[in-house]
Amino acid sequence: MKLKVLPPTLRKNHHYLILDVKSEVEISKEDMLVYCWDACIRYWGENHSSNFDLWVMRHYLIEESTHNNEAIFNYKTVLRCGRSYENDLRVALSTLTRQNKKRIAINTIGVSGTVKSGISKFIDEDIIQ
Amino acid sequence: MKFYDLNLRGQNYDNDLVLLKEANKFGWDYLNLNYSPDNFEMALEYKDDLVGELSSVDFNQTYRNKKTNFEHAEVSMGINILNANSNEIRKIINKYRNKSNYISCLGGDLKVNRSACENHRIDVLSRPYYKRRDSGMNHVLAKEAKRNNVAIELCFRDILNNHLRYRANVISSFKEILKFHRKFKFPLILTTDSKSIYDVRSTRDIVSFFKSIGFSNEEIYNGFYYYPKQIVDFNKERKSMIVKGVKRIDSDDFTDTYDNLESDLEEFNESEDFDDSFDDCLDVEFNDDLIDDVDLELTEDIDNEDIDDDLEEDEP
Repeated sequence: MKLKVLPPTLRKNHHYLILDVKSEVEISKEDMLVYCWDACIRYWGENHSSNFDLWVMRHYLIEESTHNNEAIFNYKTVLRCGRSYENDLRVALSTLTRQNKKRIAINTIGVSGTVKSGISKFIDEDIIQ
Repeated sequence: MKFYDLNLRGQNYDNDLVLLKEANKFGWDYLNLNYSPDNFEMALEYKDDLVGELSSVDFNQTYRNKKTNFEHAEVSMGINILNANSNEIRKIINKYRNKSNYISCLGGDLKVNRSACENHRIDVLSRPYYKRRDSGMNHVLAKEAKRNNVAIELCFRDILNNHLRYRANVISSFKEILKFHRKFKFPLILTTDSKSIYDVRSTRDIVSFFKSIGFSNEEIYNGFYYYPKQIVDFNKERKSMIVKGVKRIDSDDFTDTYDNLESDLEEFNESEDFDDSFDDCLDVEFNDDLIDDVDLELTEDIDNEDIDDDLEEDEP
């Protein structure tokens, strides 16, 4: 049986981080969530990371380029997090450099109150379509 | 507030250009490429090309704030002395002091740390904790650094490239050097030491990191803006300084009052530099009228309907 949906006042409050992700290899939406959790738990530990309430809402491939014969995949991701933990989360994400021996760089380019406003402000709509 | 990064690692034209574009994209205002003494003169030859390429970048493709940092980053070049003993450092400084506006020296060895702190012709002692278990600093070096105005540099790249207990060790060194800085007031600068585009982080991310390990707003302001700008401004006038404390000025600049001699470098002001608008200035964007939490919740409810649909699809 499915749990009944909580009333609005009892739901958790969320903010959404818009991330600029660069990687040597392709990253799926599921991988992205794992990487974010790994970064948070490594930097903040299990106790503090439990407040973050992470979930990847959107994940778009923006550009694929090469430099010095190495592929660079550029993604933009909308990541959900608990309200008032945005700074803690961006610190943890910025310290991530390698995953599975492949280089990765995550920068936070914006914080938004809703997914919709985050996308309209920080992600080019032509790319999404 | 502007963000100065005095330590990007220069290699060759192509790499440097990509690195500069990436750092410029993420909001840095002043970028200093560092080279070994052997490569420095070669790098000066293509400096103008780099600046020209950078100024032609489309502003809309960067994440720079249109209101606060509406100009592309300034670029300069300097020398980083690696793996040298005290005598070699002295020779390199004698040779390049008049040619370069920035000379830093990689620390780690206690003798090098000491000789760098005692030499007023060196601008920066970089990473005194390099390959050490301790911070490489003590009260004697801290006093010397203050007396000779040698800045101590902490690199964010050491955090990125070390993991687990090594990273914890580096953070511990940062905290110990910060403790000395608070007591002895030597200049402390914060840099990224980026080598590739994977090392570049946005200014807000790095500020958040240093805040998380215990730096105050004032220390971050001084580390990213006040002390770096002081070094840059001082070195521009170094040639006209005859001895310490005496500067040659043109007759046009001479006045009976001190008005024209004041620097435009402003000290930290909490209300101006780190007010709410600073916290939001780079990237926090909400819907137009989302000011109250109540409003925010209401709008989120509407949005959550969409979100719930997504969750049902994605979550097992």
